[in-house]
Amino acid sequence: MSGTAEMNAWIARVLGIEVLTAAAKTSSDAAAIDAGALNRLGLAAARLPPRPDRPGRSARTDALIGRVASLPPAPEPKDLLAQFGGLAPEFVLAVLEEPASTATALREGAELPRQDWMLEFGDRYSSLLRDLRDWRRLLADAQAARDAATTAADLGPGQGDLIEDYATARDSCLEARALVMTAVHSLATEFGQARQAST
Amino acid sequence: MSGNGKETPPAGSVSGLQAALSRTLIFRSRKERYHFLFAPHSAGGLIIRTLARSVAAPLASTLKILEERGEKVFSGAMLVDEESRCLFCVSEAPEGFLSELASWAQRNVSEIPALIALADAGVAVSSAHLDSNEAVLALAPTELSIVREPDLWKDLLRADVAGTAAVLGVAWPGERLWYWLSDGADPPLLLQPVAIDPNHERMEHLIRQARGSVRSRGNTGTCLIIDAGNIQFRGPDLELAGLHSLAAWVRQHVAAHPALARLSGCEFLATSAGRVASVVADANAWSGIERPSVPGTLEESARVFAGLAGDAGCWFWLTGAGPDGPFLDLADLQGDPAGESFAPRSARNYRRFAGSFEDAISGILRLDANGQPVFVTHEPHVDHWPALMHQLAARAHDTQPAFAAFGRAVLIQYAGEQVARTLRATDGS
Repeated sequence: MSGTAEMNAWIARVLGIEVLTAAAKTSSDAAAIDAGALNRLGLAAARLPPRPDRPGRSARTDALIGRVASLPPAPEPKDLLAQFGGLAPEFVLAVLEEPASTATALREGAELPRQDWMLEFGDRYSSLLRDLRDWRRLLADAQAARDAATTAADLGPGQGDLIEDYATARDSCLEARALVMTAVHSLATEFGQARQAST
Repeated sequence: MSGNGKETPPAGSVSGLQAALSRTLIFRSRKERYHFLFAPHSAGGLIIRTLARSVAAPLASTLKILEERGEKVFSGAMLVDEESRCLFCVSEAPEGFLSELASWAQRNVSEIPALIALADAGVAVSSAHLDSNEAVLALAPTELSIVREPDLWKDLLRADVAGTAAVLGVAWPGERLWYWLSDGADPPLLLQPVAIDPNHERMEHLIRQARGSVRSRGNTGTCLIIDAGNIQFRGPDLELAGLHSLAAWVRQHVAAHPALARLSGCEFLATSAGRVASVVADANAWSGIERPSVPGTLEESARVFAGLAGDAGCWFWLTGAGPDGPFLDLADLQGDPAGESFAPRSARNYRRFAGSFEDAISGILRLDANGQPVFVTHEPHVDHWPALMHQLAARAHDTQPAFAAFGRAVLIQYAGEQVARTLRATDGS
């Protein structure tokens, strides 16, 4: 590298930025240089954001974890869902404004970063709501099948398919209910552990 | 720009309107009522304001301007139903409203990901005076005759191999992605960045499509590209069989969708009670599928550096706060001369490496006439740079041979347009 002049020439050639030297500032072109232009001069590198003076914020994440710690244990599954629903806006704000960004590999036994554990709860809550929607839909199907089977029974014999449809719908519905209950209890247990870990 | 690099767009600009719309849609609630204004062919498009904030006046003046311009415009109230779907109420028969809304959403959803909230929106005519807050508050969804057209929304966000590959292709290390894995579904892997889908809404839209009639629950959780460049999936129910199915699916589609190769060498981390209970990996499952180097990794920086020649330069961002010592991020300069891509990438690096706010140096790296690396920076604090170069050069012995050249590097520090100082890596030996 032969020095500033060569570097400036390179910047002008490669980046298309005219680099004015101190000499140019004292020439007749000096009037063309304004305070704002100074930021564009010298180095294209000045275009990059300056180094921040503090680490990334985590106030919202901290506040959310504090709130989780202060929640009473949910006595019923429906209370747990209401608790999660109530936390959702703060969760979304924390995720949007203070996104977890570490990329460190985790190994067996490692603790999840705090926001990653929060994301895991967010994900499981979404799965649970999906399971609930499935259950609600299957319940409606089963009720419709029961009504059809009942009506058919009133009409007389030869309606075996409708009875079978009802039995299938009922089984699916019970299966969906069991899935929801298992998911709720598992979520409640883990949420209790998270609450304990937060205090 | 704030410390973490997030910019707040000006309130009245198109990007400001888009940001406000995203926020309103993401945080929409059954407990709130809204005014809306929709001009399908105007830059602003859809504006939704909560009643408390809108006080009707700002929207009314915008409406007047649009009508004077002869623009097609719809206005009225918006409600949210029990299934979180948007319900638009208008005073007159809404000729073409839903189809206009669906095609506008389709055109803008890549720019405004939160528009997924409009999927399966309904419209209803109300005789109430919708300019009045009291009348809007009194609206009862159960008393309205609601029209929905589900078919209009089916292309808003597609669950397919291309969509999964597209997310993978632009993911950067540390970025959290929601995933849904299900062996019997098509496709068996769905991904969405948490940053654009914080309330899991886009994922739910995709899952409904991929499941089809199959009632598979699938495995869900988050995944991310780690510092080494491979992907870790984290979730409670991950098992080896799922990893093998995933590898088989990638093998089947990777020729048509090369970004899927980023999954090669991925690991499944089964989690429980906030800890990693076990790690499942199988290198053999991925044999023949080579993972490309990922921007934002040392592997990629070594590749970029090795490719430098002649006049070419690259952006650099350097910290000593990497997971195993110094971390150097290098990126293309000629395709990004204004740093429009590298500036947000630098901002992400500050969040990724927690201690980097104390020591990071950024700027441009090029080679001099003898092929030696020259770092050019505007950063005022660079005393630690020679030591970082030495540590990087030491990596040449194990994983990154190209980095040996950093032992002979030079740093030119500018102050304004003047060279303030020149440092040599040998100063730190």
